[in-house]
Amino acid sequence: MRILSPVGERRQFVEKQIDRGAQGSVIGLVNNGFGNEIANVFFKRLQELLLAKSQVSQVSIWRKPMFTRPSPEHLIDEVASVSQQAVVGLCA
Amino acid sequence: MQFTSEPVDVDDYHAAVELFFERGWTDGLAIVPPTEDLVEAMIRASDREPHEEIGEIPPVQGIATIEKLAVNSVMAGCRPEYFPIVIAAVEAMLEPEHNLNGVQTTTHCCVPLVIVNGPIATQLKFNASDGVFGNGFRANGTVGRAIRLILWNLGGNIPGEVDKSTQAHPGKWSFCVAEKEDASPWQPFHVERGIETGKNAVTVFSCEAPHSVLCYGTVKQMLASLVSSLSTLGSNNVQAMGETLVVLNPWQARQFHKEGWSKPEIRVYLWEHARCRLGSIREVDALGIADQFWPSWVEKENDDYLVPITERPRNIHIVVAGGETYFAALCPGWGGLGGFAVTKEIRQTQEV
Repeated sequence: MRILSPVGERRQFVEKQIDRGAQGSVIGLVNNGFGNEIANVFFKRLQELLLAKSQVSQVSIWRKPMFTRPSPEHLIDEVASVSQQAVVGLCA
Repeated sequence: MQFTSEPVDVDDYHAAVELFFERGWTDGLAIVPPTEDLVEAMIRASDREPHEEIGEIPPVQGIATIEKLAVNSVMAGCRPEYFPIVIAAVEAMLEPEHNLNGVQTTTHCCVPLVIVNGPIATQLKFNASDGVFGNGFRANGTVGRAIRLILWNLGGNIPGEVDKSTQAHPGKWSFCVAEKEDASPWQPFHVERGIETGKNAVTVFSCEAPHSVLCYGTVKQMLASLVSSLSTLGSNNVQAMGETLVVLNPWQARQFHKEGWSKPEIRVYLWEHARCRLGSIREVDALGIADQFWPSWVEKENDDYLVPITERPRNIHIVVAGGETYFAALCPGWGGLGGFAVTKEIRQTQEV
């Protein structure tokens, strides 16, 4: 008996080769956008620590407009246009 | 017919079922092995090409080709004539307002409910009467399960992995009903939502399991019961608005109709009366999410302001289904976070 796999294929993405060193780079932090104020405190503190203890030149924070939806493309483009590295996080 | 899915050769039916369990290709129940001939029959019942892409099922982003939808529909036990309904339901779930990515990953228990309308519901023997949310009917059971298997195999909706639903609900096995149009005094649900009378359609709405409401007697008594059940502080609708579903049984619908109530009038009444005091919502809103969903006209500084459960009356959906007894059902939505109702016409090429 021959049967077929039910699992979906996925598109292949090519990861860009980037220099992952933090020195002198701009880091983007994207707050998932969950309502709790703790998230704002968390991201602000992370920004302070990165600036104080790493040799990054800048840490910018964005917030997703709706925490249950993926980031809109314009936000992704904006983050990518100014950041060498980006971290998306949730704090609850 | 040329397939692109990985073929697997097995000795017999039991070996096929065990293989699907071993590979994590099924939802915890046995399946019908998707042999090439069964998959081909499923695809031929639609007017689509096997390699046509409907979209990607989030969050894993498996590509939903007609072939993959057919494989999963065979596994669920669908008859080929059900397949256009499955396709339309997938198209509906993938509309941005449904936010399937969020539905698949939320900690809330919401599950996409498929509501079938039009002549096809009777022709294919969908249950719209006694026990409408329950078991016993192949059409409801297998169309609902096909959706589940598609969300599982293409979207990766596996509990504890990307599916973070805290307790989930039994609709995750299968969640499909039809409206009892021939016993309803009102316009069918899909027609209210813009589909031409006589056409077939599915609506997908992500919601909680049905909550029973003892809802009997006069219109005044029934409305009081519904208002109380809709406006409980723990509901996502109360804290984050969005949409909700009220399922009236045909007897209740006729009682409302006899006393001159239309569906829009019931919606307005429920919207005006099913409210919670703003200060009481704030007291329980430890996550601090309510403010994000209240429109500007909500008096946010007034603790005594009565906040409605939805932003507007039309976000309270009313469907007629079930047996003719004393009970109604409520299926609260996920709130303003997504899972909103989307209706799609069913494209059929064959008479059923």
